[in-house]
Amino acid sequence: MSDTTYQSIDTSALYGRAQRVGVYQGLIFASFDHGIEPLEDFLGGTKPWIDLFMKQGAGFPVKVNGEHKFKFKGNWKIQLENTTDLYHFPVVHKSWMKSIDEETAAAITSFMTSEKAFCRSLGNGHSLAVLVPEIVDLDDDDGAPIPERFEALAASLAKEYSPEQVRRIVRSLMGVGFNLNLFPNLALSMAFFRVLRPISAEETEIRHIALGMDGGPDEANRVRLRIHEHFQGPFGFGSPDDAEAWERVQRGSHAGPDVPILVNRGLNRESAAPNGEKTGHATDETGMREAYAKWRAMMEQA
Amino acid sequence: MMDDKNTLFSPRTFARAVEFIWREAKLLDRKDYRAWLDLWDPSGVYVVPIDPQATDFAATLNYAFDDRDMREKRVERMMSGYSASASDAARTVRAVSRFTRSNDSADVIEVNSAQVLVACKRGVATLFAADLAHTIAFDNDEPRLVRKVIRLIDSTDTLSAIGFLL
Repeated sequence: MSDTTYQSIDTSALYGRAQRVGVYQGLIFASFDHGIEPLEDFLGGTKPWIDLFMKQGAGFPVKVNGEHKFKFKGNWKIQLENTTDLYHFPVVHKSWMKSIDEETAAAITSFMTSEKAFCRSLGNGHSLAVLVPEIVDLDDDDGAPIPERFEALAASLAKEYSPEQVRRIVRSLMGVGFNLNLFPNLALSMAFFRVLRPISAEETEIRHIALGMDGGPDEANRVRLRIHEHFQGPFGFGSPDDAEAWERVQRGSHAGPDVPILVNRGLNRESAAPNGEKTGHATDETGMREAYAKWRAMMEQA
Repeated sequence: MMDDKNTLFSPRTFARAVEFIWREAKLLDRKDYRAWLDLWDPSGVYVVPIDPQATDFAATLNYAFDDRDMREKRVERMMSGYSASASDAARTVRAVSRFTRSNDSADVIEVNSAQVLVACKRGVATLFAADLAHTIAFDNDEPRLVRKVIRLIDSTDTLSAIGFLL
């Protein structure tokens, strides 16, 4: 007996929009636009930085190890700005800084004065902010002593791993020393991924995806989880203060909808990296300018 | 005949536990966080899990998983004046009810309950509903909080930032 409940229709016409998929370093990108540029071209100048980011697996594959999701009442571009905005850190996150050891706090804000820290435009709307230059390439071990707060973990790991592996794992616990912003909505930020989802012009959802070592030592992965919890998420010591600032920015924007948004910090002191990429001081808005220029170009095409 | 266990399981002990939980709720709504810290046993753990099934909290990502050190840091942060979200936190009113008990230890009682919390900020009231599990030690004169697990009913959904203690 044939089922006549549904009239036969050609579903391929309805669902024929298969995604075009590309993979780079285990990151899967998909688009409904079959005419879109190849992934390699889209990623462009971000690729060497994605390669460096993935080194935090410390010899193990990088795995997703849980996520925080939270939302704020504001436009998604406010959060887009945040990833390569370093100067908000010492102010907005002062309460987090006071809750960690002085050694870590000093390292994480060294960009304010370090000659080696910088902000860079990578093209295609992408940008980079280097905040802890000493851990940009985790393969380059500067031989610095293991931080005191990780000494107990290092001693425990030493029972199973070589001294080199122990240093590699411990040096990777905080992730890499930079934030990489992929336009429009993915960030590879120190030790986690950040994915933005605009809900409306005035509401944005953010996923903070924790990372771990796939097959790596459980005790080190647990330390990574605790580091993530300490800052990220709706109940962390960092994210709620970000969200507070963003919501105030959104509310403030209603005071003057026609007032231009200035992102001119450091416009007069940019230089070119050896490969030509525009580079500013770590506290400059070079990254934001790159994102907004791409956004404006796309809006004008739309 | 009354033995120690029967004494513990007496309605009076249960009532003391409920009173303790209500006192805690009042301290939290008043944001008297330093007094809240004094309710705790030094070995106590405060947990806000994400995964509704999680029991091994150390092995999973949580919203909060605080030992004594982290609890003190959390409170210090909220009282410090350096956190915009905590300094301008929502006002809260919480009701805790639907108490049941589940334990078989001689000097520790575990009480499960329901918490409905309304947080008001910038003219918007937000609801936070959760199942609570309090583990309370009665081996000294003063009851002490050994563990508190807050299972938000929407823990796997997208939450707004929380500038107060659950």
